Amino acid sequence: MISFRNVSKSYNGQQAVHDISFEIRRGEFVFMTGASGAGKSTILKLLHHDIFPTSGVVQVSDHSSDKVKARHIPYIRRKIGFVHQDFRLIEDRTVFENVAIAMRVVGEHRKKIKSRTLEVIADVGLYGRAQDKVANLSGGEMQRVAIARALVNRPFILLADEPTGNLDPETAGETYNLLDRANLGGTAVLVATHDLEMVRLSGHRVLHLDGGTIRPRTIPRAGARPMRRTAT
Amino acid sequence: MTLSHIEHVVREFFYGTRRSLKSHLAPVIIMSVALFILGLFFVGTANMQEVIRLAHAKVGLTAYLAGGTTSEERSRLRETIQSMPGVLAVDYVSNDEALQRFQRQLGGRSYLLEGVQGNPLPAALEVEVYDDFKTADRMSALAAAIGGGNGVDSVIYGEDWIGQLERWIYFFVAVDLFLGLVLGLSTLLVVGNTMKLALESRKDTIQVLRLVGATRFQIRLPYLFEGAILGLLASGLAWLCLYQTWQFAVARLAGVLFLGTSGVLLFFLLGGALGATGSMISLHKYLKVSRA
Repeated sequence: MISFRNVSKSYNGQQAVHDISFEIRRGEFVFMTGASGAGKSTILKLLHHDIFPTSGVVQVSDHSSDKVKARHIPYIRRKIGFVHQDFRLIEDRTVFENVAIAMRVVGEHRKKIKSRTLEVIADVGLYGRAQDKVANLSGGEMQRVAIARALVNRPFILLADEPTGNLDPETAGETYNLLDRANLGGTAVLVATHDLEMVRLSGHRVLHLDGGTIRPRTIPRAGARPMRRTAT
Repeated sequence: MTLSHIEHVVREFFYGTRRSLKSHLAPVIIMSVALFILGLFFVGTANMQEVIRLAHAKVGLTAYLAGGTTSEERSRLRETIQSMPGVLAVDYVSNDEALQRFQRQLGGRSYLLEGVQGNPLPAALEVEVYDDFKTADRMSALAAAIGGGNGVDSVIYGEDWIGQLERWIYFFVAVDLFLGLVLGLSTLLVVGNTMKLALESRKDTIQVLRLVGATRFQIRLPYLFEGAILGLLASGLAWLCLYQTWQFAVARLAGVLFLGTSGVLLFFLLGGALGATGSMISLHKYLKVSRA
């Protein structure tokens, strides 16, 4: 469903990721770990077609990064949900409007927009807050709105870039629960995170990035001291 | 495009306009000033063109007949001239009629003719030519052809000032094009930059729209409408100022022309187009897709 084949990406001669290859199967939950600047966000941006590889090919569903035309990119993005650390919400609009915008863009019927938007808002635990302005919500609630927006069009993959980076541990746990529930519903999930505890507890596959390449990594057991990266 | 797409565009337009109401004041005022200057230039050009048109309309050719020309010769000559290319009409002016005209022209000073014995003025054929024939080269060729005919004493057509008029026309067309281009481009730049500031507050919306898969067209359309409406508002404001200025001028200088209906329509259309284009220019940086 998703594959990276020998993908490298440089910004002004500076290599962000180098010769990366991996696959994500339908319905899989994958964590992506690594220090800041290791290339996690670059991989997510490559998947979302915000940027393009300097070499190699990123395959998302039927679309190949070396052949895709600029006019097709929005249609690829409609099949991908994306949650950011900074939520990316329109703060002067309501929760409903922030979620519904993703369906309006697709051109769904008004009735369907209303029912599906309210359904997803309820799923993320914000039932009754649909008409509240996003600016009046807490960080955790904002992240729920962002997840609801990412899921409203039933994407085949959900990308999350440090989704709990701005949240307290309890709210972070709730956020992961929502991502898990989306995954149980059949959506593949790729989460870039520093939260090793959550990665350890989940038991999901891990892609560990170090200096722009994928390296094997042992996740410390509960109670053990966090390990330094294991070089290969 | 579905009904839902249209609804989305209309919603985004209203959200955006409501949100940027204050920040839109600056682009509207700046566009109004720029359009007012452009409008002054249009009105000035229209008046200059009217002066040139009036002068151009008077361009004609007069063939003075030799003394003793018979009416038969005159008729033949008239037919010959009428059949020449570029000739619209040929009128015969007898020497009596020429004298009457002269007396009318002299008005209160017609006493000057009291000492003149008989009628010294020759009869003439006044030749009206088509507008596209009123160039120095063509008039000169026509005058030579008519002057060669039997019974023609001399031909005049204002050869000096036709050449000068032509040079003025070329000069005004060149100045028109140059100033129009410079003013249009500078207005576009100013509008684009001012709109950029207004759009800065809305980049989060554009970012979200890109995130959820809105096409460039879907993102652009509300801004295009917004820019066009701001441009139309600015045109309205500029037109009002322009109209007041014209009224002020016409009270002091009779006969000053203002923009006609098509001129006003063009003015509003230009304002709308400027606003829309300015909006598109400022949106460009948010919609770039780079494969580098």
